[in-house]
Amino acid sequence: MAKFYSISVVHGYAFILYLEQKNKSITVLDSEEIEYEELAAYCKNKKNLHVSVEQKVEFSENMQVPVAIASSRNVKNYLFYKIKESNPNMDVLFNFKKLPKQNDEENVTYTIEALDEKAYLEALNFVDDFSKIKSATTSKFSLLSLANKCIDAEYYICVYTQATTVLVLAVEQRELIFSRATTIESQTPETMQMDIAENITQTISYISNQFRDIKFQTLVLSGSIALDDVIAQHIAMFNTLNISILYPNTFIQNINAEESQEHILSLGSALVEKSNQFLPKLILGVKQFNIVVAVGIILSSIILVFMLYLTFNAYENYSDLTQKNQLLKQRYLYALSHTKMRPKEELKKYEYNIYMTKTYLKESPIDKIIELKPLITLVKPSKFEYKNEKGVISLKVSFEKKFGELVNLYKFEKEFDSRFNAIKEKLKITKKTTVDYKQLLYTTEITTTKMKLANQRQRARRQ
Amino acid sequence: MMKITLIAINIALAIFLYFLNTWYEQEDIQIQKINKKYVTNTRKLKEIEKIDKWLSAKVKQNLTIIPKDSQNADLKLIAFFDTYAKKYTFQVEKFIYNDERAHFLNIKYSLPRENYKYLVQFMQQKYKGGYKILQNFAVDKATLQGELILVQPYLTAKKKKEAIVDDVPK
Repeated sequence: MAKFYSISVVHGYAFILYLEQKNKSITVLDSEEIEYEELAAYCKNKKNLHVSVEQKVEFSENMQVPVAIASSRNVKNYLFYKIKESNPNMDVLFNFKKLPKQNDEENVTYTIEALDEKAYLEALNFVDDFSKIKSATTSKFSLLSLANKCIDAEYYICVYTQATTVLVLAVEQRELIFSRATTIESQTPETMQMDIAENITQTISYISNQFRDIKFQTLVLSGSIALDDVIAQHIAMFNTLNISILYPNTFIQNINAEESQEHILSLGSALVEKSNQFLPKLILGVKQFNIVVAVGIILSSIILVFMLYLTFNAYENYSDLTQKNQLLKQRYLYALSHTKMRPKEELKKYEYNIYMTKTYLKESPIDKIIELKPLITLVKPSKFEYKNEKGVISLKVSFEKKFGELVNLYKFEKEFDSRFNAIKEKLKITKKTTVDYKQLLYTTEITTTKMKLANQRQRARRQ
Repeated sequence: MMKITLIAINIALAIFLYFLNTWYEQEDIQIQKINKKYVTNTRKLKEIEKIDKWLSAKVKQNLTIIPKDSQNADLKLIAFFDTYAKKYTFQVEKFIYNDERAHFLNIKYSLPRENYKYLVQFMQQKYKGGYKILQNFAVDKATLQGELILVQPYLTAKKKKEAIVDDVPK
């Protein structure tokens, strides 16, 4: 699961927790306390940083915005304009929230939490790459986030001390209505405790006076004050509020009570809500840039993979075609080397010869004799006439045979007819037969006519 | 910076691959054209080879030597007539005439039927340098008679100039 660093910078020291979040519980994997100067080196190779820093120039104010200005962006611009009016030389970074109770019909009251952006960025300078910052806020909002998580009361005052730093928050329905951060400068170390107690008591009195209509139920102590009975007793003497200790061990594991008080702000940094974070445009820009870069890497990688796929397919096709080309080339070269090329003059001679053969040797009486072979082998023709008159070929063949017995005549007649029928379709011949049964004489005449000349004329027209 | 470089490399590679892909596609079209040409030409060569074999087997042996001039063509026809006039009882039916491709001489012939070898000899008689066409052929009980045409190939000057190769049978 997600592991991250939670860092709070208080009075020149950095309190670091290495945490792991599993579902809703947080486990402390490691804790460290280092000097601020060492923090930059420490953070160099660390990622996922949740940071809270102290801010000297930090103020909250209630501002009224006309009802007509409705959209969040316009409200923000209006508030920014108003803040800049009163702080013209400061780059302001601010969050704003609409107050739950509204008394004016014409205006809407917003509470703004503002700080000097330049000073804030300087305080965050220990981070070499702002894209590593997951959340950033000031100390008071870290404390508020943790207190809201631990305290059920609707109205309470929360006090945090660390060395000479005192931070007091007044909370109404989980919203911060007052905060004061003070650095106690005592004359001697012995009077430090009393000075802190006095400062806290005075601040509580101030809050009670300022917010008379709010009945604070609890005074929550955290940080070093939670471990110091003397100050706690002193404060209790001057207040009627129920005193309780901020005790996050219930949902944060692997940290004891003492350690948890040292790292109160670090724990709060890990829990700070988005509305209480201060992320300057620079950090947001870096984050957005990183998102764009990540999207760019993914998209360019997808495009690259897609192009690789297309190119691989194209290469495969190209490779197949090249192989086919080589094969076809070899076949062509083989056919070329095995084909005799004759000169045009020689081909003309061949052509002339073919023409002459086609023209003059197409029809020959020998061909007809061969075609009539089945009949000629049965009986010799008594007469054979072949005429080729201007392309019209006519053939007349006479057969005559005398028999001693009728049975032989009968058998011959059947055989002749049989052989004649086998070739008559092909040769387009007709026969005229006369049988003299008194003389036992068989006489037949076969004729054929082929209109060759007409065919030649048709071919001439086509050419 | 590394990430931007990676994007730049990815995009550069993608562009390179796009052009490579386009190049492959263009090459494919070219190769396909060449392959088609190879197939067509190979088929043509095979047809030529087939025709050449046919020419060598069927036509080459019948190629005739065409006389140098018209007179030589006529004299060859006359020489054949004179050589076999007595043997086959030749008579001039139509004296020498010509078209664009040949000179012709029509001859009447007559020979007895009883000598079979003699008949076969006549039928197989060749006219060297030309063609002997049996125009009419009639056999009765005693004789074989008819008409033959001697064809002496000889091209006219106009015909000699023409290159005709389209008529080669496929």
